[in-house]
Amino acid sequence: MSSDSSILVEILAVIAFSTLFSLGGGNGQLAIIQDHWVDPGLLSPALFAWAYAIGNFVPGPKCSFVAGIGYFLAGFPGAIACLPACMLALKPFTEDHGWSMLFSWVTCASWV
Amino acid sequence: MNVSTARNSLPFLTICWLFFVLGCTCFGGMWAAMDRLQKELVERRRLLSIEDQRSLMLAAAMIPAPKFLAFAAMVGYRIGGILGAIGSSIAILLPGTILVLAACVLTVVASENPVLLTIQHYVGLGVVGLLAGNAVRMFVGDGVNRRSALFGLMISVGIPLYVIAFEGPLIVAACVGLAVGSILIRGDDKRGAVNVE
Repeated sequence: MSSDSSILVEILAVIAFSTLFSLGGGNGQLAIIQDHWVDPGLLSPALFAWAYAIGNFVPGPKCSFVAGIGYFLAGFPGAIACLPACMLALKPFTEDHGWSMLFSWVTCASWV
Repeated sequence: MNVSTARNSLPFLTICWLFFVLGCTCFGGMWAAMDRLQKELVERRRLLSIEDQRSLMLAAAMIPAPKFLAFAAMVGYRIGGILGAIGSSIAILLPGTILVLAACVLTVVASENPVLLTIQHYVGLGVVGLLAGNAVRMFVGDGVNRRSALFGLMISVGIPLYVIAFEGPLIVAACVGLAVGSILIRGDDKRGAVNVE
């Protein structure tokens, strides 16, 4: 796997995992993203804050800020990878499959 | 949730267009957009009853996923099956994502531009004000249990204090805050009524 595709897989996994912490609101994602990319220096705090700030101002779900995070990390492919990542956690709930929810938690956790 | 319980179903493209328009016009998150959602989904299109809308919104708030996205997916699933859920989730996320992306591209392209730096500064301040205003409104609003407000305040202050003073990992602090908050902060009936209505 090349480094380009590995960063996309990493974005997909971390964002999908972080959405599982969005209980009652989207801010649960922030801790995961900060821990994984901001603290190790892969993403500057200023860009992280800027993406989050814009996410609060635009219409629609506030979690759209993750597209900015993806863009800063890997360009447009990174931003596109964030879209399915946000929705991975939703799939089990639209089908009423508790076990698949557990599976998605374990899968995401193992990726991270 | 079963597709057979749906009151109405819509073609895939109509679902996508409906949620794209909602994604363009609903600001401030799911609860802030409740009136707009009710007008469109309940009154105008009659896709949901008001009770369905409220229960789906409460369910969306309890699901570990972004609330608005979870709500869109559940409504999409109800009116269009699994394809409807995928279409509605993407469509509601798309307008905000495009705008965020445009702003981020602009940041990279014109990173040295003083006008952009000024805008960034004021947008940052605006968001801090927005979040602080929301927090104050929730703490002092009608129907908020004082005990819950106090615990919420202590957790809000305790997490950054722990991270700054002990240099502990933020993720651990956030998880502990979530667990403690889930146990100690209980909404009473009055609060629930305020939220839903």
